[in-house]
Amino acid sequence: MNSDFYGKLLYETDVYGNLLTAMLILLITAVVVPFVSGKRKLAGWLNFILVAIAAVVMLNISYVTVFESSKLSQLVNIGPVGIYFLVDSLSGFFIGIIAFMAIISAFYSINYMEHYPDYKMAGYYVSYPLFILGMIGIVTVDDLSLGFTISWQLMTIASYFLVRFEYKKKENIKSANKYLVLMELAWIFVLAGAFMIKGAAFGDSLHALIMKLGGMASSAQYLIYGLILLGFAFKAGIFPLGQLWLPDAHSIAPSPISALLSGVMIKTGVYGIIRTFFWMVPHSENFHYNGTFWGILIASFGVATLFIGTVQSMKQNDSKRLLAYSSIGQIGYIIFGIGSALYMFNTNSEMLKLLGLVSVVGVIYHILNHSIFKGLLFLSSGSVLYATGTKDLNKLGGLMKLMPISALVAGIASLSISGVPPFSGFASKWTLISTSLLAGGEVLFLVLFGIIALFTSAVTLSCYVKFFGMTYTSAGSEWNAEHEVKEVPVGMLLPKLVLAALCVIQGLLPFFYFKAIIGIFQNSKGSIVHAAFNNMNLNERVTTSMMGVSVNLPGMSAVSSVAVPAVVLIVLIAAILFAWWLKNSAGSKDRITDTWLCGYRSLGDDNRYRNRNVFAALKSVLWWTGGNVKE
Amino acid sequence: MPNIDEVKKRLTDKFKGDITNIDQPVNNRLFVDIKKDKVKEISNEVIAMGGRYLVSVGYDRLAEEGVLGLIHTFSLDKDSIMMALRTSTPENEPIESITPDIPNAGWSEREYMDLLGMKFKNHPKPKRLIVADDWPADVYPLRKDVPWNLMPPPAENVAYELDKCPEGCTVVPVGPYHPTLHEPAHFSVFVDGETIKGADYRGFMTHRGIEKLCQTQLTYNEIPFVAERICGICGSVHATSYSQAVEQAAGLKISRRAEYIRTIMLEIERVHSHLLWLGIAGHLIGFDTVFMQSWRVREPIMWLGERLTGNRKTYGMIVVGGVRRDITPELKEDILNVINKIEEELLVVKNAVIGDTAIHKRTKGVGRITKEETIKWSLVGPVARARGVDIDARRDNPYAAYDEMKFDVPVFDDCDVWATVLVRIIETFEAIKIIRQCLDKMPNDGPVLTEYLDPLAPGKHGLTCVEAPRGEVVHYLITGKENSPERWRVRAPTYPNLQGVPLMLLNDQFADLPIIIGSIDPCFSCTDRVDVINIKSGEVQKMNRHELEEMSRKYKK
Amino acid sequence: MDILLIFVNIVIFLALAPLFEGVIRKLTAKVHSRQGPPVVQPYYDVLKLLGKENLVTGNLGFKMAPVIALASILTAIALIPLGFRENFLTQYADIITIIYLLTLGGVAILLGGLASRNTYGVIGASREMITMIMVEPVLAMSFIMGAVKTRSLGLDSTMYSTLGSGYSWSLALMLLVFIMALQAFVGRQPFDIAEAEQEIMEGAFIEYSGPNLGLFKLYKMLKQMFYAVLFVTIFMPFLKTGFFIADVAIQLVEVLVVIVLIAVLGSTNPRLRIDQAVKYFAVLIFLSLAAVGLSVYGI
Repeated sequence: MNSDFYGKLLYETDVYGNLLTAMLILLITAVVVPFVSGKRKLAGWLNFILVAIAAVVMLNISYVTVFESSKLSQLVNIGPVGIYFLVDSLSGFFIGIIAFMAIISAFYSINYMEHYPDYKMAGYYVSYPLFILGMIGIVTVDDLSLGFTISWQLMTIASYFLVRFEYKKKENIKSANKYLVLMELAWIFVLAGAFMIKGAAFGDSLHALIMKLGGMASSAQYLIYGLILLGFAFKAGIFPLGQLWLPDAHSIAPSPISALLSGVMIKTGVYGIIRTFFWMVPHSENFHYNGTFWGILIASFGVATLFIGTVQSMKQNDSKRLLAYSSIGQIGYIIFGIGSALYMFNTNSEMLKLLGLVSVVGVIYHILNHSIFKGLLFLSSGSVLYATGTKDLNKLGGLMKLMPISALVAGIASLSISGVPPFSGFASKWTLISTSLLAGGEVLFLVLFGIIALFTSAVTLSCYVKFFGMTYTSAGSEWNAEHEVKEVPVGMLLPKLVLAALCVIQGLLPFFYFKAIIGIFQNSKGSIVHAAFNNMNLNERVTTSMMGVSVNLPGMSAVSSVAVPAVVLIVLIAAILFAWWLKNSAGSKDRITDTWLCGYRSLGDDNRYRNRNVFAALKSVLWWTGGNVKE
Repeated sequence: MPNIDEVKKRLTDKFKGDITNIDQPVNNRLFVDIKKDKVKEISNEVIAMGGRYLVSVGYDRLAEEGVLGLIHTFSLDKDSIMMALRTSTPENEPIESITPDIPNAGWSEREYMDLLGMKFKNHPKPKRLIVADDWPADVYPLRKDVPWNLMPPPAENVAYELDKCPEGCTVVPVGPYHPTLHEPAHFSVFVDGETIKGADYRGFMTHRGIEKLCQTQLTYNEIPFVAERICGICGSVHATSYSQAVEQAAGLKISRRAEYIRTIMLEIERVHSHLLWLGIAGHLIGFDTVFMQSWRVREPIMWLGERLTGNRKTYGMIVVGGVRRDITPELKEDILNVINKIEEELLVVKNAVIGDTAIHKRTKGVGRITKEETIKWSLVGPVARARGVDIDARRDNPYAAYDEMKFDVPVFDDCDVWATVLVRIIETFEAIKIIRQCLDKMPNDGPVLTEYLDPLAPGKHGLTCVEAPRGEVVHYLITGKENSPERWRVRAPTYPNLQGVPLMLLNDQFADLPIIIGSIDPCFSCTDRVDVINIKSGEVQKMNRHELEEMSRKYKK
Repeated sequence: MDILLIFVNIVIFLALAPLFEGVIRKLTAKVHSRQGPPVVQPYYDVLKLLGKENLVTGNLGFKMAPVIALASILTAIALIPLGFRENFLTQYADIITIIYLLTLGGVAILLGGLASRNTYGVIGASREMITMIMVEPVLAMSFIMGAVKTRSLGLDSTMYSTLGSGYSWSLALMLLVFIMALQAFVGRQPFDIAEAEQEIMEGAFIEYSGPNLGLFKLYKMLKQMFYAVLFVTIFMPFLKTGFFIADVAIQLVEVLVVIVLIAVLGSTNPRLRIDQAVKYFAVLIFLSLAAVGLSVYGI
């Protein structure tokens, strides 16, 4: 189809009007649904339908802004106050993942929330749409004061109530309170950073802030950016700040909410960091933006976060805590990508600049992938919790026979997050790691960071082998499930299957996502990389085709890096068929037998090798990373 | 250092009314009859005098005296005294357990709970030890009214209650079919991660009832051949120890030449056994080259065994009254050639093993227990000597021709598996040294077999020990009527040492389990004192444990 | 022609991997002063296992694990340029793909071990994973050093980097590290910790029998040959003639040398414990990091 045709058609779309409509629908949802909360099923469906309507409107906005035309900042008057909104391609992208995960999570909630018969649902259905609303606000408002505060508070307070949903457990209240306090602290940091800018007024648009910042001396940036980074780092869960709240909050919330918290909410922190360091950069005579410094700083924190978060994740026994720590680890990859991109882009080398651009593409790609697979993983562990009554990996095991579809889905999600080709995590991690390795020829620390990232992805793998293996294979739930284990209802399988399909598609078709993400940066005006994305002729350097993606560095004849998950998949499938044929070539028959434990004792609950025993040697070598689990 | 009279005096002074009789049939042996109320106190007193607990002997005197006899035996190593505290108790009256103070008595006492139906007060772990899981609770096989070939019907769904695993740990079942255990036994190992936090043992899975068999079915002169079959590796020590016990009870003095030949055979066996162990130890830490090379070095000794006795192993050489074959001058030559060759090759192996840092890594600091714990648990043999306990029955309670031999007893303070490796390697060289001395000093005359033709009076007691490659073997014999023993108790070295294994395992890695268990050179079968499972080949069918048991019972009949 | 080369790779590997295994077994036997099995024994083993009954204790994961393991190594084999000749697939994969593919094989073993429901299987899987995490970076860094030199992650250019640039101190250090890690790559003593027969009875493979075990055995032989080929391509590229058949022949002879090395190292070391091995690997990681660091500065 001719894109001009669509462009003209959609150019008329009133993006800001639609955005407000969607927000209004969410508000209405928050008011209406609680009235029917007595009827759980009905409330769930109503919540889903209304949220879905709002989300469809937002997905439309997302589609328009990402693929067609990015919008400029606009002052929108809501009653007496005017708030600047900005829905450019980058916002559009974030709106897209928020809206999409909101639908999935709302649909999943319908059935899932049934297993909380002891809790009233009114609070949940008030908070849910407001939480979505707050997140949409964060990624669309164009200031760091008024609109930001409203959105942030909405998001924080709504999510606080969602996190403390199971308020009858004392420790949950404590964790939720900690979450609230730290998020307010983060808010104060961001606000303080913004108001450090000389002449900053309440309600200033980001553009205005940039102009005012440009009037200051270069040295001011360290305090201002530092504070803002600190604030968003809290939200994103960067080491050591994330460890303070993230594992507690994410693991106690109901699973669909955990999926939103880990899949989407912490990305708002990442959004803030990207906006600050790629957009909020003045071009003026006396203000010199020290991009390499911030790049190294952010990349270092990113590497520390990805390594420590993942290693801590490996030590966990509680499946949701494992996932929460792993979220910190994955955010680490994203932050590391942002930092190294920022650094590389601010150097003078053509090659590094180009790699910086590729890296930032990888960042957005990984944000997308992580939303999908982490959302899916939380929904999976939610399903297990729903089916067995426990999320303790020490007690689980052997669910593959009982919950085959959930097992398949969790397997895909685990492979995706571990970055095994051809699943989705591979494509984005490949981008992040390969750029830093290639940059290694010029910058030593980047190659070291790249190696740590590669090593960490092996640890991630171990984490998820454990997560999957100790839940679905092995043995244990025979003795520990609180009730008879059945596959979860279709209402919970469906959203998971959708996400699993996306994990595969996003892995197999990296070229499509590369193109789209490059488009995001080409469309969004005002960023430091905007010009480069349009001028450096990225399309020549980064080849995207049905086969995959490859990068040619300037001055090099050979292809510098290449990822073709589709081809690998085809070869792999051919090889699997061959192996299958070989296995059956002699016509041997299967016979089901019991597990053999040296002939005196049979398998029982006491002689299973439990989750906490796994990787003991590694855990004890890596004790210094913290997050150790005492029994 | 008290001599035997001082020991007697100290006991009679302290427990005047409780000691009814002291018997000293030969030098260095004391048989003390005591009242059963004071068993614990007197035992502790013997320990306080430097005694080391050996084994307990229980026997059935219900028909004759209406009591069950119980004998605790001790060795005062420094003074070369072996003593027995004899007591008895009516069938239903419990007797005070000595296990709380002498932990190694735990198994002996449990054994008599199983086999004789004795009752012990304050036993810390009064669980089944010897008899099978499905053995009926009220049949005591060692009692005289129970026929030797009694075979109760198998029972379903009876399981031994193993110790509960500590909180936070997981049980790893090891055995009975496990490559580490060359014979069947079950260790229930409690691990936290891969760190061992405890273990429980359920063994005696191939208990053959040899003692009962010999007491009821065989005569004195037949028993050495069965005794030798207690162990497939160091059988001669049992034959020797038994024969010595009979000779002691009968007051028979055998010829010096026979004693020398016995010594040679015992030391040949030691060389073979230690080389075998070294190989297995290598195998257990995953070093198969050591395994294969040690066994290659060992091969000539097997040839020598065949040359001397007609058998590579289970020589059948030692009988009551002496030995069965003489060593001729040609054989002497062969022995010298073989031990020279072995010494030379062993030196190479020794240097390779001692210089290999990778072996150090796997054995140093592994299986550590302190000297005090070793003494408290009455561990024996290389296991004890590796932990600074200087005991060796060949030197402390000399028998055969050891009184004339000059040899070193290697003792190390490392307290770990590495030290047991060293002890065994050095002992092998010492054994070669002893064989040379024997060949050198052996008197050229004298019969190799001294016949004893008078009937043996019943009720005589004999207590002997022999230093086997694994530690000290103790045999206790009570003579009976009809040319066969009333009671014959065998204690193989694995019996005390195995009880110390859970202690050695504590806080070590699971990967060290094979070498730690291996370090005591376990001989479960000696302890169990084999069933032949005769599975007729046919079409393949699924078979569970019970069916297998069923089948083995069927074919045994 | 390029497409045909894929099959040449696969056929050469499938045909020779068991032979190399046989050579190792024979050599080990010689070190043991044993007769040893004939060098073709591994072929018999695999063929025999394929015809035996397949005992299954676990779920679907248990049945799929050997298939995935074999498939992953075959895929990796299909991608590499044997005899310095890129085949049709080489252009579609870079080193990160290869590393992840090799990891996938390990994951399959883990899956099998976990799915077997056996306590020993899980212990084995746990150890296998630890070993994988610790040695994978070493493998990665031998590639990355080439990548740093050539500014390319492409499989061919990375693997030929030594051919292009010759020996340097950093490469020599990496060679040393690679040899030190070789036994861990191929899962042999002293690093056959995950299979330790004496403690955990082949670990993850404990419940496997028949064709499933056959596939795993084949996987291990192929993996062993694969690492040997990697070794000779990266570190011993100097006898390149330019004629494909000659190059392949030369490489195979060099592979035989590596195989001999594996056999000798394997038969002269006891197995380490996992906690000791982890420390050893940590040293290797730092050494290889140093090598990469040096190579960035062109040393």
